[in-house]
Amino acid sequence: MNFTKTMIVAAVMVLATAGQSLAELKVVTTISDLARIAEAVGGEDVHVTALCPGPRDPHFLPAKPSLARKLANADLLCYNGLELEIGWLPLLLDKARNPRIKPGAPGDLDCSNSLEHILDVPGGNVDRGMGDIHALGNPHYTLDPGNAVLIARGMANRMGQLDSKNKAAYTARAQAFADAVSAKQPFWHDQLAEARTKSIILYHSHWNYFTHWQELKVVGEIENRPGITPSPRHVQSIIDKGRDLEDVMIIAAQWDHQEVAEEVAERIGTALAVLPGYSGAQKGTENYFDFIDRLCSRVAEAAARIETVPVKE
Amino acid sequence: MSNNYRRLPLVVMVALVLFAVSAAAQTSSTSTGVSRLMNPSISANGLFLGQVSRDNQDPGANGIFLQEAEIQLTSVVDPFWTADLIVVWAQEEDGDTYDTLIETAALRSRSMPAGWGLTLGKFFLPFGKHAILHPHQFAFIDAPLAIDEFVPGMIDVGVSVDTALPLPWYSELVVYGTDGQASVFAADDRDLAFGTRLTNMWDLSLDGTLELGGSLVSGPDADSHLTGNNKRNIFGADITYKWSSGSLSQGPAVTWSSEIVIPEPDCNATGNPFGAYSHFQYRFGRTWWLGLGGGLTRDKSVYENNLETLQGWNEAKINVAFVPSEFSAIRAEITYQESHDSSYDDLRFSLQWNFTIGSHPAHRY
Ligand SMILES: [Zn+2]
Repeated sequence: MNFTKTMIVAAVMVLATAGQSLAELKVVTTISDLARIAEAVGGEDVHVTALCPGPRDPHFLPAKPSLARKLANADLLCYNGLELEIGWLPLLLDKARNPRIKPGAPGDLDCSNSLEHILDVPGGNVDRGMGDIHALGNPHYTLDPGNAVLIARGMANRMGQLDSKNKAAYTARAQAFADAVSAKQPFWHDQLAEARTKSIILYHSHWNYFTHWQELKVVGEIENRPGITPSPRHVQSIIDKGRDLEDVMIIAAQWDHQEVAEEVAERIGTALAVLPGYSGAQKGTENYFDFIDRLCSRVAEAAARIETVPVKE
Repeated sequence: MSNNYRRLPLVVMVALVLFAVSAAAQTSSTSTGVSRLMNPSISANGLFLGQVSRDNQDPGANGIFLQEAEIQLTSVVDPFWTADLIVVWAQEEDGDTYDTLIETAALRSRSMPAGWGLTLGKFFLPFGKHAILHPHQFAFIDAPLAIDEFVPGMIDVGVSVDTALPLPWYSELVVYGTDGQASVFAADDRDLAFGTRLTNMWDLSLDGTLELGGSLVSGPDADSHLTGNNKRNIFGADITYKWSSGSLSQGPAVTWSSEIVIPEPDCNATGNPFGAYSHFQYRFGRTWWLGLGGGLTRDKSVYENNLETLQGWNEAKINVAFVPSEFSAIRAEITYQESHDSSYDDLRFSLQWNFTIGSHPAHRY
């Protein structure tokens, strides 16, 4: 009697879970930007989870097994690719034991495949004397909203394949996302009119898609070898360069080692813009549009402030 | 003779699977065209040690050594398997000669039903947190006393099955059966070894985790003529707390790991042997780590004044590591060891450095 009861309860639970999984597509993304785009495209037909919290640098996400649990139930994995997640995603996939999202499966979506142009693809010989470089090119492409549109379309395609009855809805939402980006473009562009006349020193090449999109003039990087603490000699040469230039400003991410960026800004006597690395990295940037807004407003504000910062010897 | 039959089911199972796999791959390899794109990921590392000991005069305890060099090949084999091959040239006790060890040569399933995992071949037996590490992954230069004494060289040939348990937290169960040739077991015995490990992990916060593990392994006893036991059963339990800054890239991080290893006592012994250690590591700068560790073993009953007492060792260590990139590290370490009865103690100063080249390493958690 008890056994029968248990079996019935178990059966009901299994059916309930199955019913739930039919209702919506379970999407897991690696970085928060991809999660925001997936939400825009999937709407109420998907449930989206991001593995890397917004404030954390995704180059160094610890491969916590609890993240593998999130992957275990996923129908679709949307990842950045270009080796951004190379230190941890393969381990998590192995622990997740989920054949729906393993490499080559329908639920495996490398979002970089949707791009038209990849920046900083190293030509000629590369080796790790250049630091822990991204050998397939710069992976931080979601910082250009134009790329976000391409990714949204790629996601809509794949979501439509996995969940064909909502195919039209996914395509329509990707189009709405594209329209929203187009509508904002003139505003974002105008906001950086003044910054476009300045020279920019980056902490790390993280910002190359953003500066490329906004046609900002990058003249150097503080962390010239990715993942490696910059040498004092290189920091000095960047300071010298900054002092020689007319109008120069510094951009760093909130997770960078800011004492170095601050020192460079102080000794040049210029403004430092500390930006959220991805959506949700700073308060009030959880939404992708708010995130891009924040990048633009912080850079515009720093560009307007350059003159007011005194030089520190 | 009957002992030979005990291993038959395992041997038949392994043989059948390997036959099926090799039947599909009977051709010799080509070296031209697109085949080269199918080359495995290759990585290699070297581990060097300079050491002086206050009291230990052994040649292996004083000098500058290449501790070991390792080559690792990893690749997807076909839709069904991934394969790993790890070959190590490790320094022997005398400090001059090198042993070639195949640490891992195993197939790992890619598409087992219902999330099961299958490993076939030669692999590290999943016992605790430390016995599964390569020397270049150790928190300190030497393995803890407890590991060296009770579970050294936990590598064997066999089958391992693993699964995630349907619990509200992360819980992984591994069960394995192997040939019983791991150095902790009897080398000439015909019996198999079996073991299991359960790992549980909870997120205490967004950036911190707590892991609790339990391990059990049972195999033929190498010293059965002395111990009176036919089987060598070893139990282990471990607890690990990990935290790393979620807001600063390559920022502060903490790992605190403790483990206890308890072998089943000899039939004719009165004391209970065990070994334990606790390791604390703190990343205090972008490229700097500090380590503090302590450990002990209680083993080997001896008669003194007609009383049987446990002998053993205590140790304490401190190290500082400079890690300029993910691909190299240098560390300086001071180790103090003493025998339990305080009849002998030693102080050691060591400097160890290593490199990794080739494919990008995974950041094992
Ligand atoms: Zn990067």
